[in-house]
Amino acid sequence: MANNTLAYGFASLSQMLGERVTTQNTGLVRDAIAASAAEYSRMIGEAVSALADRTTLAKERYQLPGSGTLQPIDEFGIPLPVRPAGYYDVAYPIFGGGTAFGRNRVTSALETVADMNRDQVLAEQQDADWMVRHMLAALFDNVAWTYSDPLLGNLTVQPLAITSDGVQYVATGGVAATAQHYLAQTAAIADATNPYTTGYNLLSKYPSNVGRDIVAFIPTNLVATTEALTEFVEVLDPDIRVGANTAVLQASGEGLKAMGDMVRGKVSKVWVVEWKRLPDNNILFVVDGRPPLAMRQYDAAQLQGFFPEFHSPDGARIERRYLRYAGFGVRDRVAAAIIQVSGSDTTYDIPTGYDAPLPV
Amino acid sequence: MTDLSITASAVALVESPRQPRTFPAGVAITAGMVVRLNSSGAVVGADGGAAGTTDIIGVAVTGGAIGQGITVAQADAIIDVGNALSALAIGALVYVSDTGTNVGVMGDVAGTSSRTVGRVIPAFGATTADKLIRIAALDY
Repeated sequence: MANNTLAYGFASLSQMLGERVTTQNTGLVRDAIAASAAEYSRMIGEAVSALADRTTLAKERYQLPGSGTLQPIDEFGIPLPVRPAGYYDVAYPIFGGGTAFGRNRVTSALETVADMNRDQVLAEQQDADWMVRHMLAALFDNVAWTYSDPLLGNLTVQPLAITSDGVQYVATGGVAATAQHYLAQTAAIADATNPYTTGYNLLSKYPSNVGRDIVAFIPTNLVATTEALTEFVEVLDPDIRVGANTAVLQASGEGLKAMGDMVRGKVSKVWVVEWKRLPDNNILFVVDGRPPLAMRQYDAAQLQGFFPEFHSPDGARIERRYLRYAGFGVRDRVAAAIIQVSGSDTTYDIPTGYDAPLPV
Repeated sequence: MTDLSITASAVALVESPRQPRTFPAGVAITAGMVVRLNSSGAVVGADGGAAGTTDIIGVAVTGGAIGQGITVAQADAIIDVGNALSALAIGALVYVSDTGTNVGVMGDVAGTSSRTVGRVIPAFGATTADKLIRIAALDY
């Protein structure tokens, strides 16, 4: 059976002081704490920017432009009146998450700035974890689900475009059709089974995505097979002098890294960024500058963001709480796509731990 | 029957609907001991071996030598006992154990004189539930 992941409760004097160093010539290195804080702050800030637009709206209606062509007329001809029609609704949930740190009157008086900073960093790490999991669940879940809003009643949170709901999207050329943005292939990544071509063709056909870079975020386990593709071109390494007859990228792609860990290169007109956070065998395609999600928060400014709350139930125990209320739902249903590779079949399966709504 | 192996430094009071009370220690107490009051009102270890030693008041969340103040998590409080509950299922009861003499050990099976200390409850600081103890309703 698994041990607990966390330690809970109000910190006693022995617990707080027990982790400090009191012997001579023994240094206490807090580098890991600072490095962790910096990395989590970077990742979550970039992830929200790249993947979500902030909103206080609970739902939105996307009107579709319609399709068709001109009716033939001659010198006496009168076209019949037509009406643009078609829309789809999207909605966004709100969930709450929090953490807390407890002191008593003695440990509260004796704690140092470093102790408080350590709590703060842990809180930010937990917040970043919560945000990323909820964002990825909103993307990876290919099934619409119902959120019961206390004020607005039942809201339907949508996935990316799926053919089964019959919603049609207008592609370049004016043709409206259903679309499937959750795909799976049994084959591994290879020249003959290149998912990047599929992802590019899928996203680039919409007017809203034309002219924008398509970025594929990939988990670490797909880096090797991706870089083995014939078309793959690595980003330039300034420490290496490239040989003759070798294709090199003119741009570094760093501006497209967002929450990813490393820009790997480009293949089939798609930038490839490794993001270690992703589940194995899942490629997340996004359109640069077109966040697919909305992040809903309450109207009240005091409830937005990651905010502190202080409480003392009896004067002897002191709690510092850190709270967040937010929710993620797909807003632009054609601004992202997910392709699974090396699967057991060609049916898309929601990756483990990303079936929205998440219980934690 | 398996006794809980509790590391004192891992014990902490997580939540308490009533103000936790502090009592003088009648014997050396370590955090995590399930305790009762002696005739002087000081806390000593409970023992599941007989009815007279299972009238518990809660679980010590601090430790100390004879005479030092010991804070006790009482009825309906929630405590963290570290990884001592890893082998127990969520919802399982925790009892005063027969092990030792008045040393306040908890176990997963009722002692000779059955006395429930509390129940294993989940905590969700991670995606897989952690385990804490909610102290049962007690006579005190």
